[in-house]
Amino acid sequence: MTSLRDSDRPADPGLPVPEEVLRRVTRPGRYLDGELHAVHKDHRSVEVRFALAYPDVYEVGMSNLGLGLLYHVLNAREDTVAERVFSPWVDMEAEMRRLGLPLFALESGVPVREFDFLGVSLQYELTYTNVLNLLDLAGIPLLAADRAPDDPLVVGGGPCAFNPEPLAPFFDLFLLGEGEEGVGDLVEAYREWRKTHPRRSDGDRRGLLEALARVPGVYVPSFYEVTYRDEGTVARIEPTDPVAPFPVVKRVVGDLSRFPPPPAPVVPLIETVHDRAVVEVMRGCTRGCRFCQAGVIYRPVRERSGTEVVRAVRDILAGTGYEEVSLASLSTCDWGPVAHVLRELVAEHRNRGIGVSLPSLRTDTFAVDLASKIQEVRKTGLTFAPEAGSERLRAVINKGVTEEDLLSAVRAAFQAGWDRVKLYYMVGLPTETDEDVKAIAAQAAEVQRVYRERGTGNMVSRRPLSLTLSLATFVPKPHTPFQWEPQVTPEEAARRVGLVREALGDGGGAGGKRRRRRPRVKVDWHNPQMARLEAVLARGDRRVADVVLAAWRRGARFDGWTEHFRPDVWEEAFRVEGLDPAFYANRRRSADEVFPWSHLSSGVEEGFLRREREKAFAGEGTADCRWSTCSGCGVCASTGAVTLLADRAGRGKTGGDGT
Amino acid sequence: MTAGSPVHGSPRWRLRVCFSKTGRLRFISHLDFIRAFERAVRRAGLPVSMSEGFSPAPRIAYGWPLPVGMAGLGEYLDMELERRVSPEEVARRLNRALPEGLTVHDARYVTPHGPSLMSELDTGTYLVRVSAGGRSLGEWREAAARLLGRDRLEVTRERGAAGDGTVKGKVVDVRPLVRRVEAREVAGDEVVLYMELALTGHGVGRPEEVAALLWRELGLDPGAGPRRVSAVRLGLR
Ligand code: SF4
Repeated sequence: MTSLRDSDRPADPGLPVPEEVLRRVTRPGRYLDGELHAVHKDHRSVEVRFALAYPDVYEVGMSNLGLGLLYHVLNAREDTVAERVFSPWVDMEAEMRRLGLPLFALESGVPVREFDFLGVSLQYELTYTNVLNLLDLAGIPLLAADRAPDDPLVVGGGPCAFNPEPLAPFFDLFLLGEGEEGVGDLVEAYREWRKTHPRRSDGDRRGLLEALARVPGVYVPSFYEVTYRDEGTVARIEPTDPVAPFPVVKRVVGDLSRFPPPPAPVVPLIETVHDRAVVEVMRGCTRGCRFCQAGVIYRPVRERSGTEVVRAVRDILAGTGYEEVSLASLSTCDWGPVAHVLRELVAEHRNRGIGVSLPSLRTDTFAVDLASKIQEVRKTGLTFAPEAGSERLRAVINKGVTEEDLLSAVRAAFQAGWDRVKLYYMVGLPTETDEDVKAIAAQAAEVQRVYRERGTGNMVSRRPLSLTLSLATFVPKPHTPFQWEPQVTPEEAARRVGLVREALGDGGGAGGKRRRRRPRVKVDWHNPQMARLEAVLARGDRRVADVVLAAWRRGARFDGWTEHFRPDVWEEAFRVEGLDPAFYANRRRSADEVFPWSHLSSGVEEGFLRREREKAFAGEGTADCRWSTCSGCGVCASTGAVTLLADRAGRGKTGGDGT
Repeated sequence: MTAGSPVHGSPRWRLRVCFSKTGRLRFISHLDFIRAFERAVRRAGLPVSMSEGFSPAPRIAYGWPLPVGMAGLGEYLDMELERRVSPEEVARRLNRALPEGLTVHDARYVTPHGPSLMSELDTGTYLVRVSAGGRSLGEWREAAARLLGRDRLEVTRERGAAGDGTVKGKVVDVRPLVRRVEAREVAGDEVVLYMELALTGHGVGRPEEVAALLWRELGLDPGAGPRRVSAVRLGLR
């Protein structure tokens, strides 16, 4: 007991947060660092310091694949250190403000303000107030125009960068498209600039931004001027700097095998949302669902080979010790080698208690077969996404799923022993009628019927069916064939959800929590006010930035968290800024409207989107260019990337546009 | 404890591992610790037995959870191996795989038929450093003696927030949970307390509660302390 003093204070001088604060806040593990494979570099030994921020809590941010990929790519460079930054939860924010503790990077505890870059991952519109909060906590001026030469360069990326206008004044630049190569180019351009401006306080920021704007895919919002018409729509977007490209075209990694899945990602110490190893098997999806933004901005399809994935899974499991690995992509059932790779993985890893999972299932029996391979014994629920209840509406959105596809999929699932199914739908899709809405309930009834008739095989479950309908309000997104379409109002969305409930024989009113007489089908309904805000921010212009700022000033945070979302604060923010949310969310755009994102290109031509829109209204389908002819979206020509399919005849199938 | 030997029928080796949880790792919960430990076991490639059933899990029995924020210097767990690996080898491989803050100090085989870890180790020893409230070591020692002389020691424990948001309390007699309390040293305005508290299915002694009882014993203002400086669980026995 002579060493009382020492053992009494297990020293950890590296902790940037006082111990008593860590004892007070919820889930202190969010702020610790010290995870396996976190990268620690001496800041004096590198030339470029890159903070990678995710504007939500640790558990959410650490579940994002892209952030981990950029962390890996940047830290692989000798000249750069990348460290992680997440939003402090509200209790931690209060402590930080009380103590005057600036936002710090997890690994080094160094204040974010001292980094050269602050990269912000923009995955979801309802994190925008958190972005402002991060800047404010870091002590970085909120407006890019107010920043000094030695402030970090605030750079945004991710899907929301395809219309970042509601955040434009707060960012120095955005990087459009896939970041693996783009961030490296940014670092190079920055180092080049530093050679002639050795101190961070040297030189003018504009000169630096001009140097960075030469990197393909970089969008510097202050180099473009937006003018508006009297009625509020955009009149013109014009470059004001000779180096500013018009349009800015996204970056695409031509061949994923140049960036193998990192074998040693950071292994969190606390449970995260997706607490498992992830191997990305494919990028892009050309199924062509007309509501889907990811299906446009990640084009074309590029697959990894089965051999590469099997090896990557082995390495990542050995490197992390995870008990589960997920094969990630927008639609893994479409990945060519999926069936044989699952078979191999299960054979190799199952006896060690390691599970394999797919992030989403296609609505057909093939997908159920795959699920049976990986959930042989323990049957957790299955999830399908028919998206619309009627055949007619599914044709409009180009979701090539028939009623028979769905029913045979659930039949196969029930016969294999599943008794829990969740179905995803949207309400408020373009052209939707009450008949289409009621068809959702009819489809649920059909699924129940199939369950009743599942037979008596020795695999089938004897428990009652657990069926959940998840209903979301459709949010029209930029760069999709439905970018011209209005969103239904929250009241109308509520009415339509009420129709579904009514048709289900559910006594509860729309949104209400009244007791139901027959609770056989559970209805999950996403908050339509949040969907409305998402719609405003998704297609907002630069003027909406004032609203975001006003809402943040009034305390809006974590808007994507139901318990924190404050519709009253947002309403007030719109009011004081004199903007009408309905103008952005519920207005049908005219055919010649200049969109706020007209200068930003996903590589897919607007003409293609217009044609897809017309075909939608005519109920005509468009085939997947992977398995059919090129549908002429234009991405292969404008980005130079092509569809790359693995392990089957036609590998290296070239995209369209006359090739 | 006798040396381990295979269980009849299925040869299994029960290894008792003594480890510490210190530094930042103090701030992860018991469940997070379990996850981190099991991932390290997998990375270390140890032949740990798996449970049968729907979701096979490694057969590891954990001891009494450490409160979040408290370091533990002599914590225990039992893991079952499919074949014998020398304890030194297990410790070496685990230490290579564990995150910083978790360290294995010792491992030895125990009889697979013995009592469970939690019933065998029913006392925690703690070292707690709190504000001394301006009192001397002698006064703290007297308070400790008085405390141990009492028949009942009542504290109010939170029972979690009720539906209306109010926190409901429950009065508990913790006297049976306090086995030993000593004031070791006063330095500056901090006192070092040593405690031995019960860890049983009927109740778990909490060092901060005991420190607060001593504070009360000294007639100090409960609103003003005691302020915890640090707390560590030295070991289990
Ligand atoms: S250009 Fe043609 S082949 Fe390439 S992604 Fe578009 S539709 Fe498919």
